Amino acid sequence: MSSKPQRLTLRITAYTGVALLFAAGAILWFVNSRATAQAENQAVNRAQFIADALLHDELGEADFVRPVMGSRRAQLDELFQRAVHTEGMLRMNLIAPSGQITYSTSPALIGTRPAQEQEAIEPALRGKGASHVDHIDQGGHRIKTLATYLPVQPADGAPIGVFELYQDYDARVTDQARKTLYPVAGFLALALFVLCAALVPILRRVTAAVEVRNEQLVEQATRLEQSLSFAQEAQAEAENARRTLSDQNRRLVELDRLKDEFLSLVSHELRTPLTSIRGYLDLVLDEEAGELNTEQRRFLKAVERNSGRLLRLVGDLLFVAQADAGRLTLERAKVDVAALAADCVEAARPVADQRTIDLQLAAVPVPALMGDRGRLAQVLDNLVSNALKFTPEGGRVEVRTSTTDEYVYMVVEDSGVGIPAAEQPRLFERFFRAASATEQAIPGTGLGLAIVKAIVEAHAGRIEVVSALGKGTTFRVELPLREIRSAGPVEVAA
Amino acid sequence: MIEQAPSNRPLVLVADDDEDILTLVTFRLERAGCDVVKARSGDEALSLALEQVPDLAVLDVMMPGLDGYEVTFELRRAEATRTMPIILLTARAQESDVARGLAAGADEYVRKPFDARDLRERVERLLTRGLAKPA
Repeated sequence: MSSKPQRLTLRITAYTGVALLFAAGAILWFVNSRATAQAENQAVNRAQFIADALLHDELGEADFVRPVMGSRRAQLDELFQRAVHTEGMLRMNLIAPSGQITYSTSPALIGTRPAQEQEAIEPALRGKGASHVDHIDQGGHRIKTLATYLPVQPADGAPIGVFELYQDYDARVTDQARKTLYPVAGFLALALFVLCAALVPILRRVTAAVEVRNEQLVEQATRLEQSLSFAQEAQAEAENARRTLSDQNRRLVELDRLKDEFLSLVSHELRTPLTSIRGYLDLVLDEEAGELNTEQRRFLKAVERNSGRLLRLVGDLLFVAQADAGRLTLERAKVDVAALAADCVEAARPVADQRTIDLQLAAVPVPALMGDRGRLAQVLDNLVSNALKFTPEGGRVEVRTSTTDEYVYMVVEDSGVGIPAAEQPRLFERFFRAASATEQAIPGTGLGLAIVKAIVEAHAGRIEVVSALGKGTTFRVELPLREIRSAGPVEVAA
Repeated sequence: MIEQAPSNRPLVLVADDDEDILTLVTFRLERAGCDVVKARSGDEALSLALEQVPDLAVLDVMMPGLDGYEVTFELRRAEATRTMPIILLTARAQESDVARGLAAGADEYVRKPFDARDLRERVERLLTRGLAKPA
């Protein structure tokens, strides 16, 4: 990890160095340009000085008429040799307005008329000096020169000819420029070095800070990516779970519907053969097929009793299926619960007497409530039937009714075997049978109390049980009086 | 017992696809003093009813072809059988089934398994009502 900031520092230093070098190059180029221009000006000024100081009074119109010959030429040689031998001076010419060279420090040129000269001397013939960079052959070498053209004119007259002067460009311009440039370059190099040296620790600190921040950002990004990844995974899992649940829910709903249909179908299909069994049994018992002896009648009564049990079971199954499907309907009418209790006790008395159980009725008059008479009778029948089943011979069962301003109560109390506390919460579940019932082979389907609860709740009431092992059980049904509605079938949820 | 001359015994149509139940109901009604015409499907019940115009019909609901509701509905549409008493006899015991049967035009709805005395009382009551009607 520690090598990273170093690499970054080196990189930034390198970039900075390259940028500074470019800047230095640009500065040097600029300084060189200015220095060169300045040296060129100086060279031109020097030519002007020579022309003004040395030649002005020495040259006459005759020097520009035809090539100078003889003694005049010797005079001019002497005159020019002084000037031409100074440093950097290469050649001097006198050019006539016609473009013919009338005198030159290079004698071979005298009398020639170089084509390019005509154009070059034009500005000078108009009284204006000019110069340009040119190349000439000198002693077998091609030399870069600064050619300057200056007008030669009397104090108050027009130019009579042109003085042309070639200076060694490198000696007069480049060397001069370098004299300016080198100190600047040296200073610049030093400044760059110092700047770089100063920058390194600063850059190191800055890059270290940047690196730390960078690492933090990378860490944050990684964490965010992880969080995002987790969130996406969680979302995908949630979506899968939702789909699975939805599928399971659909399957459960479908299974529930199939179960209801199955129960309904089974109930219906069982009723049809039971109709024949009980119908023909009735015919035989009615002696429509001849007289029965006592034994035959007793046996056929057993068949009748058991087909009756089967029929009740089928009815119970259908009832539970309807209640589960929310199709339990109540045929509401005014019901006298005390009278209902009396009827129930009366109907159960033969069984109680047979088992020597003391069956008592303590029904105080209660207000009539709106309910389904048949269903409420079924509640009492089931409770009393259970009480008789689970009470030993010689025991006692009491059916009571009572009332308050808001409720009517139906209570069935027995002195039977009682229900263990652990079993009480499951008492109203469908098909649940108490351990004592299975142990003592007490007949039942485990549907009776589930049906009781469904009917009571359909009447907006509630049922509770209090029981102690070996002492007995009390079921108390509470039915609200205010739940009076208009008579007629009412759909209720199971 | 329905008190009518043997030659003038009421004619009852009994329709059920279950042969045993058809025989059982027929036996009970004949013992109650009725003549019985038997049908084993809804279509047969409808054609026999329109052809013979019985005094009363006892129809099973779940039969092949037309069901008991549909036969009831058709009988109520026909002029000859419009007021004929109809008892639906069925193992379909839910409240909605009863409501549907009565809506189709049935006079009574009896659940299977039926009580022979209950069926006989209902038949007698409906036949008496039919006789009491102005011609």
